[in-house]
Formats: sequence, structure tokens, C-alpha cells
Amino acid sequence: MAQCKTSPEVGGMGHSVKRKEDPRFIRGQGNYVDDVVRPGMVYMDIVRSPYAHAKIKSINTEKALAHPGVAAVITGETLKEYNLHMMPTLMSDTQMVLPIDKVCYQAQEVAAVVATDRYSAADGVELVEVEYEPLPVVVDPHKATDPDAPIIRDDKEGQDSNHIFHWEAGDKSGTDEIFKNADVTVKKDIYLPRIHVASIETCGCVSEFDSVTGQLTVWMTTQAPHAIRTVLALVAGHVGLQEDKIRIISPDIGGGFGGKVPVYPGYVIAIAASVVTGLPIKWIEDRRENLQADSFARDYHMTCEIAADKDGTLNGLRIKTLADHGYADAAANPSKWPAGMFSICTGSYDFKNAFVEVDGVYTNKPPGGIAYRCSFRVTEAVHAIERMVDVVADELGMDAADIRMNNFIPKDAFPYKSPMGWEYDSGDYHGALKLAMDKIGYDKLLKEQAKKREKGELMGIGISSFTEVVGAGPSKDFDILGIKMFDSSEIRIHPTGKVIARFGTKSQGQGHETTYAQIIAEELGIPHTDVSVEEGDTDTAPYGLGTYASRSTPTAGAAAAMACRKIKDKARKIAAHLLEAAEEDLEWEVGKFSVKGVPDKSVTIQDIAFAAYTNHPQGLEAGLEATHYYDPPNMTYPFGSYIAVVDIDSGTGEVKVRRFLAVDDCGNIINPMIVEGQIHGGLTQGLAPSLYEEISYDDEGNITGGSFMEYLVPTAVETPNWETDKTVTPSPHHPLGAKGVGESPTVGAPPAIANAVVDALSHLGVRHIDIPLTPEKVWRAIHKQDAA
Amino acid sequence: MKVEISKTFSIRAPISDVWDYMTDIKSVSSCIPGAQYNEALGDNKHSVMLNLKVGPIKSSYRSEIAIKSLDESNYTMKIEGRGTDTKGKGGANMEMVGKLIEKSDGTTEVNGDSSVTIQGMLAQFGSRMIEDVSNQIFVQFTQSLCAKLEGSSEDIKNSSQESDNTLSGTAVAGAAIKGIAGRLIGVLKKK
Amino acid sequence: MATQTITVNINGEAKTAKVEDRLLLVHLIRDNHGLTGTHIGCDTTHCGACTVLLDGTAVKSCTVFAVQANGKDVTTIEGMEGDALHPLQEGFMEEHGLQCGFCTPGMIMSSKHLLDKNLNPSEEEIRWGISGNLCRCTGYVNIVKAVQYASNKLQETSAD
Repeated sequence: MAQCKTSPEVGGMGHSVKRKEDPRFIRGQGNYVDDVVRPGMVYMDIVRSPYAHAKIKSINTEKALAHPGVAAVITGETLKEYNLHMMPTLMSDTQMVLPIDKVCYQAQEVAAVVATDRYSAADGVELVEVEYEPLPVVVDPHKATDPDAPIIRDDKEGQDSNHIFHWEAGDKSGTDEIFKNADVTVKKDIYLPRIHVASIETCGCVSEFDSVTGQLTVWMTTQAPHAIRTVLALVAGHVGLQEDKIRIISPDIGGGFGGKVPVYPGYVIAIAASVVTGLPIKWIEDRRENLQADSFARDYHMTCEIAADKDGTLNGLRIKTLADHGYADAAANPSKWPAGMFSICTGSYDFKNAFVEVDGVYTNKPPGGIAYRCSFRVTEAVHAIERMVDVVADELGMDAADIRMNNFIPKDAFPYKSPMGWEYDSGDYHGALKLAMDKIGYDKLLKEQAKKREKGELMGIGISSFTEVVGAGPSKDFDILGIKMFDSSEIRIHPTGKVIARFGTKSQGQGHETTYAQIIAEELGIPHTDVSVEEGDTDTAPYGLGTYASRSTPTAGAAAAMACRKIKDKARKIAAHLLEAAEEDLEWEVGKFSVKGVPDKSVTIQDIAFAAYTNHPQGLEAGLEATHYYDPPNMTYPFGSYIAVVDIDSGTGEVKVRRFLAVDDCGNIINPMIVEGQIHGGLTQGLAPSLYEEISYDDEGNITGGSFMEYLVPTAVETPNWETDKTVTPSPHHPLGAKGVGESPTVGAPPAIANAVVDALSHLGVRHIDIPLTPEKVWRAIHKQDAA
Repeated sequence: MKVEISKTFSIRAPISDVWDYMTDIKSVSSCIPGAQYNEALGDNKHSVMLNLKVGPIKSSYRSEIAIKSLDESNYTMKIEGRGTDTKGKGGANMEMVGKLIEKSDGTTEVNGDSSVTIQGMLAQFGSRMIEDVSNQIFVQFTQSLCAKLEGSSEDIKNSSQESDNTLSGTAVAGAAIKGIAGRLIGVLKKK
Repeated sequence: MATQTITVNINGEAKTAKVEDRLLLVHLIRDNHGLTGTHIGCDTTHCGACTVLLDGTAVKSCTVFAVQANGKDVTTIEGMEGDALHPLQEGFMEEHGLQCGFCTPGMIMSSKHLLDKNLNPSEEEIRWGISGNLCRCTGYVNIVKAVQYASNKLQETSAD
């Protein structure tokens, strides 16, 4: 166990202090958006399209308006008057707020009803009559670019097909050369289906506009309140909103996972309606709306190839991807990255060369792409590489652990530049996999599997040794709609030595109120219980890009450390003044400055704080505070090795995860208890798409996974007892050596489970099955091989 | 969502009577529970309103039935129907091929193969129920049809329009649930 | 829409309201009576975020009409703390059984029902006992530990 620098009372890095946010949550005193009540507040509900693609012939609002509780019905025509019927997406595409001519996906917003109470609003929705003329639909992305495919975005000038973008990374000719001369090549089509993050709290907002002062206040389920504020000011500036009079409040959020980053039409309609009517408007979507219309994740069709030597040395990687983006490219990627960080797909392995290309296409489905704890497409990249490494191993008759050990980037090769241009900061892949194998008893499991096979029992062992890339990101490469992806921390120490710290990120359960306080405790020696952390109110928090893609610790956590160091510099000056010594004669020990060689002559940080207001040196400003905007020099690269053990019922195809061991390395750890909690949760969100979750569409574009009846979120019964361990390889460039961890388990778990299932059936000739590994799919794989 | 439905039943009536009745959309509509014939639109197209009530939810489908082809020599008919929910909740399209066969005992065997494509909310909720609901509609339809064609002319007069010509979905749903539960029990019994 | 006046005993306090027949119990609790600790997370009775005790039995208040609770006792998360936190509330904090906190009130109420019926459940019984409550954040491991913490504490105090 690493030595903590601070005592448990101070609670700096490494201490599993209890969470400061818990006291309110366990009492039901959280303040979520649906808990917000404003005087005179009315409710909004949304009329949604039953068709995936249809012209709107007419919208009849007469019956709805006749309902005594209904105050207004808003259509696209209403918003068009204010030029708010369309909005930009984060990928510089456009999407409809409310349609004028046609709808492009089932459950698309068509009109909104404002009423005195929830029930009247719902009644009003039932009373709105819309006449549609169904149009032919595009559901299969492979057919989206057929010559006779209907053009979905005929509203965009110059858009004469359903193709959105083509993106490449790596060296095509060099990689092709490797494939031409390879001993062994393998190729597989890997499909990651559409899934939905389904946080238990759905999305919503309360919007209030004061027409006298021009002040707009919006309580919103958003992971990035400042970005929302700026986007609103840019998009709705023409109706009189200005950024100094827009306040976005992100209160307690019931889970985000990326699903609360996008700007959904519901927010914009509610905001517009509150400005136009002058009434505070609450809009809270229900679960079906959430699953059917909000941003999805994955939907990547990947054709993957590896070129290798006979001895299993991996040389070249090629991936061609078809990305189904729905009817608008609204994935919340940084602007230069239409396929996110997909090019991290060379993973933990020292490939000589690689090339990837991604083509995004429009289909008649909701827009999105990365809203499910995926680090901007890293789930897709890691699933591809970890599955393909196993495919190579199967082809060559090699053990899955051996082929990995033989190809890992060695510990002393860091910083390592991948063929795709990523500079991995640090890693010890051999160490993590070895620990995982030792802990789970890998060799013993292999023996057990051999015995079971003789008896016809199906047992599989699957490995996933992933490398993540998080902490977006360095300003030279990363921006959201032009806003650079730095993050910030503003720290102020009060006269009595207590601290208020505000950040540009926004926790949705990750425990920032605790972990940021611990960083400050570490840096300044002030007990974490004396530090109050605030996030989410754009009126008070310093500008930041929010929390998603595991970026908070790498960016805002670093900002906190840097701000503390600025404070410590000033504190030294004050200490020198108080101790009547020269600054260079002072030494810092947790929480205090003392004169070198004279330990009794010391002042605590609390003494210094008091003096900052009552006895500050002449010529120095009073007060003790600092703000830091941190522009990370690089991404951070958490990594890990996961091993899954599965048992399969050959009669039903049901997969049971008997054991799952996760060894994670996220660099230096702030709070081990919180990190472990993140890993448990992430593993469960990795188990879910592996075995249960899928949002699918039939040929008419009807969604067939649109409620919790079909969309299966694991309960405590399906979820195994996660086993966790760690290695610690600090990040050399992060001020705290920390890397971020929230998404590693969602990234690493699915391929471990998929590899285990394929391993269980490999003796039957099975080489690949796409997730989710439903009993039907697994059963078919087993019996198809029997039939062969 | 596409549902394929194939049905066969027998009527104790001569094939020509059955053919004449079944190719008259107005008459046939009166046998479909919940259907209300509106008018002939010309060009072998007819406007029919279908009222469906499942529990407390009432839906009305404004439908257009078109006779695509009639081949009396083979007693084969091809019909297309398109229906949209009047409140804009979705719709369904149907293509049906109906064939009559004269049996040696003087009865007529009626075969219908239809392919129904469903769009909208019904596809989400109804996908499990569609098969059972259509079975129940079919049962009520054949009972009506047989009553009209097999009985005396008096019976035909008396069996015309009820006051509330909606398909009672609760009866349908009840039967459907029984149907699903029955299958489940069947599965459990097999274990 | 027909209305009636109902009185529900919520956390020991008689609360009266005039409600539509179709008003859901969860809306009575949250909107009419301002107790927003009980949450809504779905529309198909799956997630359990709305779990409360109705005459001591855990129910999903999104699938109970307010009028069905007329004259009955309802316990919500706000009623769990007496002079001190209930051992379940303590357990969730001690064992890090919550992250975003949204499913937590429902989890605690379901767990209360479980422990009321079975003071010493096995791990499997706990997992089945909370299988009507979905959580996306924690992965359930620490929730199980939280319930075990409470079970142990309740057994200690009942032994006193």
C-alpha cells in the first residue's frame, strides 16, 4: 500500500475518506432538476412522430388548445418566427428543434404542449392531431449510399447523398505494404450495435426568463453547463439573450455517462417557450422518450484486419468503419475528431504500422454516437483490437495471454508514439496482465477448461488488455465548437482557514465534492472536511468544458493542484513576513511553513490565511486565492488487464459470468474507495452491452428497444461480484500523476466477455460473435458448428 | 415491422356465393369487427374506417382498401389496404392474397395469406400482441361471415349492424393474454 | 376528470389533498406534498426509483394510484431518519453504496422491506431483494455491502 503523505484527518491523496455529497442523498435531500419548483411554473410535454421518415401535412392544435389546462402549443412554425427551429450540432451539422416539412426519425419532436400541470400537458399531447405522409426510410447504413436511397437531409444545400464524412488516420500505403508481405492475415466484421446509456434520471430542464431584467436561468441536466451557456448566447443572441444574462445551473445530476452532454430539442423548446410566454417552464422527459430520442452510442460496423508473423508478432492493423449517425451528426466529439479517438485502436501493442478509415452516414434514426461512457469511441477501438488479437491467436493456435505478452509495448518504451500519432505517457502492460493472471489463477483455469471440454461442458476464459486515452485535451488538438478543452479551478481560502473551491467540471456521481477537496488537502494540508467544492452554476464557477470522457481529474484536478501551488507561493511570502525570515529559508511540510533548522518557528496554513486578511505584508495584495486554467500538455493513458471466466449452457445458450477480475492502472489514486466504485459501475455498464443491451430498428424504422421492457439494464441478480486490483504507473506530465478512470471498465469489459464466450466455443470452430451475446446468438453459434 | 398471417377456414356455402360476397368490399366490411364502410372511391378503391379499442385506448384508422386483381376463373383475389391513425400515431399497410377452393362436399375453403407492415406506436407496443389480436379479429370475422352466408336470408337481415361497431379490445386483449399465457403454460408443461 | 379528497399518513403525518382519480402516488408524494426524495426513473415499473413503503410493504409508487393510499401509511426516504440515521442510511454512506444518489432512496426503501422480512439475508437473497431497483452507477457490489452493514447493525441492536 502506497504511503499517504497526509494523515487520514487531512485526507489527501490515497485516503478512502467518506463522501461529502452522501449526507444529502441518503436523506432524499438531493436537488435534481425535477425537484426544482418555481413560482408560477408550468409544464411542457412533447408530441412525437410515429414515423421514421414522413412529410408533415398538417398539425391540428385546436382540440389541444380547447383543453382547459393547456396554455399553448408550439410547433416548428412558431419557432421559425424566431429562427430557432434549427440548431447547430457539436460537429457543425444542423438538427431540427421542431420540424417544418418532415420528420426524420421515430419519436422525433413534432410539437410541444405547455399546460398548467403534468397531466394536462400529457392530455394535450394526445389531443394534437398530426397528419403525416410516410416517406421511404433508410434504416440499414450499408444501403444509405445506394443510388436509389432517399436523401434524408435534403434540407441541406449541396447534400446529394446520405454520406456525411470520410475520415482517415495512419499510413495507408505503408500498412498495405505490410499486409502484402505478411505471413498471416486475419479479417473479421465486427459490429457494435446501438445502445443507450439510460441513466436512472432522464433529461429535463426548468427554464425561467425575467423579461424585466432580461435574465434567463435554466436548471438543466447537463454535464457541461458553460458550453451550453455559450452555445445559447451564440444561437439565440438574435432574440435578445446575452451571455452575461444567461445562467445555467446544473444541480445534482442522476447519472450522465455522456447522455447529458448533447443539447436536446426539448431544452431549446422549453427555453424558447419560457422567453416567449414569460412563464417558468419545466420539461422532464419520460423513459421511453429518453431511450427513443436521446443520443445513442456505438452503431459502428467495423471491418478489421491484422497482418502478423507466423510467431504471432503483430505488424499491421487496418480497420474500415461504417458509422451510423442517425439523421444528423450530433455526436459530442471535439470538433476535429468526427470519429473521436478511434485511432487509439493499435491499443497496447507495438504495431509497425496501421491505417483506419471511417465513413459516417445518415439514417432515419435519432442522432448521436458517443453517449455511453466511451471516451469518444475508445470502446469501439478497444473492442476491435482486443477481439482481433484473439482472432490472430486462434488462427495461430497461440494462447491469448502469450500473444499479448509478446506484443505489448514494453515499460521502458514510454513515452511511446503510436503509428497513429498518439504519445502514450506511461504504461506497464506486462505488469497489469501478469497481476491479473496470477490473481485469477490463469493456469489453473486452463486446466479446468480442458477437463470440462472433455465432458462437453462449455467454459471460457477471456482477456482484455486495453489502453485508454482520456483527459481531453491539449488546446492545439481539442476544442468543442471552437472552445478549447482546458479546465479550471478557482480556490479561495477564508480568514478562518476554510476553503471554497469552484470548478469548470460537473460531477454526476463521480464524487468531485470529495476528490477535489482531497487534492486541495494534499497540496495545502488543509483538512478535506474544511474544503467546500462547488460546480455547475455558470454564474459562479470558472469556465470549463464539463465532465465526460474521464477528463475531470486530468484537467480540472490538475488545475486544482496548480492553483494550490500558486496559493502556496503567496503563502510562503506571508509566512516569511509572519516569521520574519527570508522566503528561501522556509521549508514546507504538510500544512505549514517552518524556518529551516528551527522547526518550532512555524506557521500553519490557517495562520497564514488569517494573516492574509489581517496582517498581510505591505506591497502584497490581501487575500489568499488563485485561479488556474489548465491546458493539459497531453492526454493521459490509463490501462488495465481484465480476465473474465464464463460458463455457457449448451442447451439454452445462456452465458453466466462466473468470475471477472479487473486490474486497473489509473496512475496515482485520489480516493481508492471512489475509484473502486467507478470501476464496479463501469464494469456493469460493460457487462450490459455484452449480454443484454441493444436498441434495434425494424425495416420501417420502428424502434424495437424503446422501453425497459425490451432494453435490458442489468439488476443486482445479473451482475457478478466484481473483483478488482490495481497497479500504479503515474502519469509523468500530470501534476498529481493521476490519469482518470471512469470509463476504463466500460471500455475494457465487453471484449473480455466476448473473448471468453468465443474461447468457450473455439473448439467448435467459432471465431467471432458480435455482442450482445444473447442466448439465441450463442446457441446458434454452438449448433451451426455442430451442423457443419 | 412486418407480420405474416396465413389463415384457412371453411364455409358451408357454394363457391360462387362466397366469391360474390367476398369480392364485395362493402359486404365484407360488415363482417370485420370494428369496420365501417364509408364509400366507394372509384377505380376499385374503397374508404373504410376501422375502430379499435384496446382497454381504454381508442384508435381509429382511416383506411383505403384497393382491389388489385380479381381472377374469377381461379377464384383468386389480391387486395391492398393502407390505414393511418386519425390522430397521427402511425399506421399499417396490408397486402393480401385470397384464394377460394371448392371442396367435394360442397363447402368452400377460403385461404388468405397476408403481409402486414406496421409503423408507429403500435409496432412498439403491439408487436407481441399483434399475432393474437389478429387471430381474434379473424375468429370474429369468420363467425360473422359464416353466419351471413350459411344461414337463411332472415339470419342475414338480423345480423346487420350493432349499435357500437367497435372491436372490443378488452375481449381481444383478454383472449390474447390467455393465448400468450396458454403458450407459456404449454412450454412449462413440456419441461 | 373526477376528483376526491384523500388523506394519506406520510411518515407519520396525516396529509390531505384533493386529487384526480388518475393521480399517481409518486406525484402525490413529490408534487402535492413536496417530498422530492422519491424519484421517477422510468414508465414501465422497472427501475424502482419510486419505491416507498405502503403499510410496511415496498411498492413502486409510480404504479399505485394516490387514491389507493387513502387512509393508509406511506413511508418515504424522508421518514427513515429518526433521532439518528437508520442503519441502512449509515450503511450506504459507510460502504460507498451510492454515487449519483438517484436510485438511492428507492434502494433504501426496498432494502428496508427486505430486512423487515428477513433480518439476516444471504448475499443471494439481498441481490434478489433489490432486483426491482436499477442502478447504473455502482455495479451493486457496495449496495450489497451496505445492506449487510445494516443487517449486522440491526441484529446487534436487537440483541441488546
